[in-house]
Amino acid sequence: MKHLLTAILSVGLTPFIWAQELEQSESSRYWLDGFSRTWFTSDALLEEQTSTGAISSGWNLLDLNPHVNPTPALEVFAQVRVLNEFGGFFGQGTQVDVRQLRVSGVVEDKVKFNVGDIYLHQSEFTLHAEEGEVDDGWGHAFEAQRRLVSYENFFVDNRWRMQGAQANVAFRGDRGLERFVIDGYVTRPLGSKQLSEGSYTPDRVLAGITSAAVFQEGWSGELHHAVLADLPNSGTAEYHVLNPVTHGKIEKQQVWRDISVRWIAEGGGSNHAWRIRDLANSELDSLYGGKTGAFAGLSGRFVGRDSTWQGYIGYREVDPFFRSAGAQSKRYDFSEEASPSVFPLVGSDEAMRSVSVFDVLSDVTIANQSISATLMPIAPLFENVLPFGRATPNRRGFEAGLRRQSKWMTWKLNGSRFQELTGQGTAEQRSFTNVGVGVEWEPSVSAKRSCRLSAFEKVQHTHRGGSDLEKIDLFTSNFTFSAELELWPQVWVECSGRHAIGRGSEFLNVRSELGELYNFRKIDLDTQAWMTSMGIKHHLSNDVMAQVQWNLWGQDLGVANQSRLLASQLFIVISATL
Amino acid sequence: MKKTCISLTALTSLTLAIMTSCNRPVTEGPAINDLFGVFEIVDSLQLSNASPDFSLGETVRFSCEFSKPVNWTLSIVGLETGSIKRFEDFSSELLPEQVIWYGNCDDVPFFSEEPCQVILSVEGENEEMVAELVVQGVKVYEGIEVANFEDDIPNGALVWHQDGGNMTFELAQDEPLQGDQYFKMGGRVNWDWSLGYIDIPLDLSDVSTDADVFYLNLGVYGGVSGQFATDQYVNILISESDTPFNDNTSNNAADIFGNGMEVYKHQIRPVDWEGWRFFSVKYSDFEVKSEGGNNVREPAEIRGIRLGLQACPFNSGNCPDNANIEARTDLDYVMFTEGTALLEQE
Repeated sequence: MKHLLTAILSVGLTPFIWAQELEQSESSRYWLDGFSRTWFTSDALLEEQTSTGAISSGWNLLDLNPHVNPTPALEVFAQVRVLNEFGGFFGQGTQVDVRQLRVSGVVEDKVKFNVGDIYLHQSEFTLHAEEGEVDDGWGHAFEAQRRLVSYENFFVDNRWRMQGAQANVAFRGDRGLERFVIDGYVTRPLGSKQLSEGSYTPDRVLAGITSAAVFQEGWSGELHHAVLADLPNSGTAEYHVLNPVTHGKIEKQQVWRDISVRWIAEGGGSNHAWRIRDLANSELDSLYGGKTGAFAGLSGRFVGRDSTWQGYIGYREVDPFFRSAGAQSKRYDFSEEASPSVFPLVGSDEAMRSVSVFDVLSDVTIANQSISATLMPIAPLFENVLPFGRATPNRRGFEAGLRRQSKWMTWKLNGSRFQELTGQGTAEQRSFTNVGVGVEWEPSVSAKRSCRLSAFEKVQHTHRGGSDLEKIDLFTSNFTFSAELELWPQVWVECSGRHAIGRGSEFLNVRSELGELYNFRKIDLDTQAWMTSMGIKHHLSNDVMAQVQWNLWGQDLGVANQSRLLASQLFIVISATL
Repeated sequence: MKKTCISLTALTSLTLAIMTSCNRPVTEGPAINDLFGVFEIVDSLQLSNASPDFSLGETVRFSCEFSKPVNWTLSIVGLETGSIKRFEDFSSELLPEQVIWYGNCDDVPFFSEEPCQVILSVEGENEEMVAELVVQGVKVYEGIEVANFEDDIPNGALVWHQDGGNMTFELAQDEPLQGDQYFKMGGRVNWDWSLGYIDIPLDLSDVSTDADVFYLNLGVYGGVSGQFATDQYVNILISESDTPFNDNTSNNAADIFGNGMEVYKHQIRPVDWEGWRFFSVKYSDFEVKSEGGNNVREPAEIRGIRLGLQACPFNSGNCPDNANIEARTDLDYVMFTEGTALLEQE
């Protein structure tokens, strides 16, 4: 098996392997790296009454990254993509485009800057991309699919990829101040677009500045400010968003009874309004829907002396009208317009099915790359307690967690209890309980072979009292497991699974284009969705990897003539870092 | 340690106290008890005028109140013409200052002097409220007339068509959209996309409206009995060229739509419906057909319009069904309006 796989991959990857033979002086100024991936899937419905056959799709791609260093302190980076869709032949279905372009450098050995496509993170309340619904506690399950979705959507850590400019400068201090850093950025998440001869959407700009200071005796502080704004003169729209956010943080690091402790006190606020342009004279003449919101929190993080355990505890309040577009935009789109790529229509009425576990984990098109000026729709089946991360508005409560590591085993336990500050549609407030338990077992099978088993269970309960109409009682469970065993050197058999169960009902917020809550949609969430995967992973070398998987997935539907969807997928991916 | 905890807790508490002192609303959004409660009609459907004469500028205002916000639809149906005007919203009340009928319709046919039925329905509820009114005088739409074909084709207009089979580029009286006559454009031409057109000279120098609020409105008649020629459409050209309209009498028609002249184009494509439909197109949505001027759509500079019938020719091999069917896109009530589309006029 191993030799057969090696032979197949050697043939498949031959075009991607080449040698760079540049002169020594040249190679220091021009160099190349890149990435290539061959991806193929074949999807089929099981238990299907109709004779729909398997649907195949996939592509070969080569992302070639030329780096040019005109001077030692300046680099120009581009990523050129050549993509050939499965079925394309003799140039048909082949795309060539510039995927990324960036100039980076250092001015006078002091100011670092980036211009072009940049990846930005500021703070969890100003600019932050929460991993969201795919989070499983350990991050190992469905690694191949998640890596694919992340790469195609520019998901890197908790950063948003944007186009603009960023610069930072650091100073060494004296006496009480050890270090001082200033970082600023200006980006354009949305460009002006022509709708007709005389109508344009405006440019949307996100800008921010961060200053951080490290003092002696373990004290440090951070101040973040970000503003999302439409530029009225660049378009002809009537409404223009304006959303400034400020986040301040003070930290104290100390050692207490051999425990490293970090205390964090933080707070801040936001304003969210729409500037209205009088279309008759093109002047901004009023503000609409202006709302302010604040947040504050206190937390402590603890690490044992030998780092075998760590924990945290915290209390936080976030106002109902705290709005931060950069921190509350979601990585996955759960709006009704989001259409799954695989088998989107179900039932005899050909209704659009809802986004399921399979889509969140493996559908490249469900992911969201843009900053939303208003709160995006959520998916309570996967996350109902903090759907917008720590910046989730309308929450007050405690959270705590503990992680313990022994020789082969790591345990994780976390919990939180939150409550709304303002009732939605009623004076009654929701209360939220979240408990997560995980274990990871990595026994030493032999010196040369590895083995790992991970499992994580997240249980959430949402409750609201009140009249029969207002009552909410929603229970959700998301169980994720993954395992891999190295059968031969560099050849693993691996499996993953995720099972989401929902019981009860919830009201989803229906908001206008300006973000106003004007209606609710009641959903009965007696449903489940699941995905399992089994396959083989082979590292041909440090830079070349191949995976073959068979995936089984499904979801409860409850639509006309179809109670559930059950499907299988053959998944092949070969990737090489060049 | 103790000192640090006290300091940071005090700081956080102070921030929280400031937050709490701000006025947080008790609730956000509409009341769930109202939204999902029992539906009741609090005030029945009322009409301000049951016999409106829209030709005199009269209106009909509607009012009604429900026990909760609902998705409601108010439909006014002409009992003789079948014309329909609809209002829709999500609210708990129809306010007479908001729900106002000016005698217009959503699509043709236009309302005539006729009795109408008013139906107010609510999504998810079986109950409907019905009322009646009689239109005593029809609405007079305002605009710049291009062609109503009532007396003849417009003064100075030129008609050209191919020598195909059953060509009908002429006035007809059997099924007008408005008035007594319309312009019939039809026939069969197996060798060319263009079957024919009518060119109408225009002088809009008095117009001061911008192109994005300047509309071309026209009624288009499709086929009958569900039979339509494959890919038949109305090709509309508007010229801002200063070339004389018809100096060269040896060519097929007007001289202002040639290559190199400032001409803009829009297509109503495909025409695949039975009976009349009415279209309104912003002049700013016309695309550049040929660059010859400043490429800025200026209504005041419009010198002429060409309304043509085009269809996929049978000989091309792409539309075998067109061997046995005549293309047809008849025209009536062609008008420019300023500010709004014709059917949206108040």
